[in-house]
Amino acid sequence: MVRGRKDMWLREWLVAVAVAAVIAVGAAPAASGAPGLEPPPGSDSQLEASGADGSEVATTAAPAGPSGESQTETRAAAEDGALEEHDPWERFNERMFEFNRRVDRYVLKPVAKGWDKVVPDEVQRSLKNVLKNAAMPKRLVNNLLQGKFEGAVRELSRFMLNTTVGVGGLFDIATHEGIPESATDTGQTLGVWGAGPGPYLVLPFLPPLTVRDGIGFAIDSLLDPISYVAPFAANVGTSVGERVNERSVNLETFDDFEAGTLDLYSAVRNAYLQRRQKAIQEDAGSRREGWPQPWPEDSAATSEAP
Amino acid sequence: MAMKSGAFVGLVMLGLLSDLWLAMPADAGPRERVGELVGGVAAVVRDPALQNTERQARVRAIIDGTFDFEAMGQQALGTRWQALTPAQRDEFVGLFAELFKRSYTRLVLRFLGDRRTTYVTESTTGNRAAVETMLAGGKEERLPVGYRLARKHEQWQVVDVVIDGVSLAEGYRAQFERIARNSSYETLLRRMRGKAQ
Repeated sequence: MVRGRKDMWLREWLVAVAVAAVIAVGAAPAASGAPGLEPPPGSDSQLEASGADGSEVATTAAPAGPSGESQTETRAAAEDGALEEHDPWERFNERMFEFNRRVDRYVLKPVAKGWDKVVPDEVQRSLKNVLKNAAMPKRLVNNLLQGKFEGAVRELSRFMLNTTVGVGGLFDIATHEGIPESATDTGQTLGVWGAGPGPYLVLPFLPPLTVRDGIGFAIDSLLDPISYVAPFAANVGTSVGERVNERSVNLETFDDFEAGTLDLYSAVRNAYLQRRQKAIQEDAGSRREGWPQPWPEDSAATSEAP
Repeated sequence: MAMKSGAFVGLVMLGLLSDLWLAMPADAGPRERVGELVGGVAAVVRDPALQNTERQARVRAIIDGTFDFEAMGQQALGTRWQALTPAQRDEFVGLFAELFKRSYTRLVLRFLGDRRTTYVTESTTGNRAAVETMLAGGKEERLPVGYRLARKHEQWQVVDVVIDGVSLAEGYRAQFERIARNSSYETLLRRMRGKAQ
């Protein structure tokens, strides 16, 4: 039994290390200038947190690499958002995006539609609540790592309330009682610590990422308590179930989003990067409010709308 | 007979004028303008007497009167806007407005029916303003929606909607930029025309 548990831990670690390695290998050419993936121009500056003062729109096309694939990079800074779209692996990402889109269209969406027909909204919401409640350690650890003491206390309070009064997390009593979730993850923690997003990255079966968020994603999977107690297959099943449930909750939203776009790839990329930027800016803001500032103010991370 | 039809036309004109008056108070602030948009659309969405096509037409009319499509189109096209002739700009703004109205009408018809909007904050800097709201209800418990407004001809008009941190105007800019970069401006127009039909 003990040996089985050890094997399970080992397997989890190997999966996580493998994912991190894939991401790291994917990231390496940008830094080392490996053939086929040309170093993105100005990559140093792009790994810095987005500045609030750069409001330029510049498009550069890097020359084709030995593999024949031209690497394009778009840096776009909105008037007051300073959003960078750093996508040197656009061709690879677009192929992966198309693959994921087909998986979504032919597998995930039909299953989610069936799930939506069979399972009432309340049950979908309860399932989402349970999974969210179980993922508390990830949020707790990252709140602490970001110095968001108030957020950490909130997460603990929410967990205790929702697990007991909320019947194992089925009901989100805490939100109704005025204790909102302090949602955060390791990618956001790395961002708050000053790590730039790095190149945009799309991998099969995974949501859109950046290299930083991919590393965070791998670490977060280790903080998921379900992975400690459930066998690997059950863990994968839970993840798939979560994706199906999430997809069913957002069926109409996805359809509307897709119907309203001219270029789905850039629309998804832009929406993802915008959301991550906002989340990190909010985390940085909460950290300043909830904890003594250990280092000088980072003007880049403090830009807020007036 | 002529008097009757004249009176009828007069009544219709009066009705239209009163509608316009109600829709566009002369000194409405940013929050009031957003209130007109959200409240007006919510009333249309929740009116059980309306057929679907009528409902859509009314929502489009409200959007038409609240958004500044020229400013939005200019922002979405970025530096390429400068190279366009006035006629090309008109064509682009027309297509952009149609695309946006279709998409946004679908969005609000879906989202505003069973949700309620509460106001969070409002901030104004010169001729720019931001109004933050929260949508509550439906499958997703809470959804932050922000409105960005600009003052033009003494009137506040919406130039962007930010849903859960995602700016719709910024999304259009990213799409237009990629299509024009990878293909051409003509391709972008062709795709806009195709989508707007």
